[in-house]
Amino acid sequence: MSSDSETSDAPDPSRIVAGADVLAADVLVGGPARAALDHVRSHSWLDLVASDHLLDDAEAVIAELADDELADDWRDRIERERVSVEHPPGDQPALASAYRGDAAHVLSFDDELGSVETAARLQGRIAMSVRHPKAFDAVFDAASLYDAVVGGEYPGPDRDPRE
Amino acid sequence: MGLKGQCAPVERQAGGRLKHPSDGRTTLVGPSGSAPFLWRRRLDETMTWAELFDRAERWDVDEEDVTDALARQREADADE
Repeated sequence: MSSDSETSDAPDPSRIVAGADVLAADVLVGGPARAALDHVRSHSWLDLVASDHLLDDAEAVIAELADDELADDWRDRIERERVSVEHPPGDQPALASAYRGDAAHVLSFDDELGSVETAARLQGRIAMSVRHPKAFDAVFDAASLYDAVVGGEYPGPDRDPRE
Repeated sequence: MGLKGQCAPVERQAGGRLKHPSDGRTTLVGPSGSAPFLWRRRLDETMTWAELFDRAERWDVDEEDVTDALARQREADADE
């Protein structure tokens, strides 16, 4: 997908955005963030969508809580995997990445981002779901998603999430 | 120092890291002759997720630390 693609009414269920908090927690903490993103890493037909602004935020958090070397190496790695999108600097990076990238799922620890109020406010514009990574991990159904996105019987994970 | 391969020469920094002059990226290498092998490997491959997760374990970070740090980051951006 090009970075300036048009958005559509029906977001792509195979496209997922992780907020900067979830991206940083994936590498620094583990837990629900890593469990949720392991689903993405384990399946080549799922895409992680992220803007430069989103990655900049996560990289800054990793650099602050760990060090610049880990942040640099994380950035090198995540750049290989993400689907890049662009949005204006002032936009909320996770929501804007999902909007611009037609992603159906946004993972965030931010209660406000995932609140009913926010969902209602976005309802008329963006048909995305904002979930805590623990909730995403709980409801993720690879078989039904594979059938909807690719078609056919789910063959199981096709990538090592630690490679 | 002057390790030569398929790229520009690298320089050794304090702490045993090698710095690639073209992009400034550094790589941590061992103290002995394993450095050239490791450096060539890192030119072609980024770190695995397992390697990144293993390295991150030395910092005792929880989810609250992450959300707090991101909030500080956003405040700093807003102040600019």
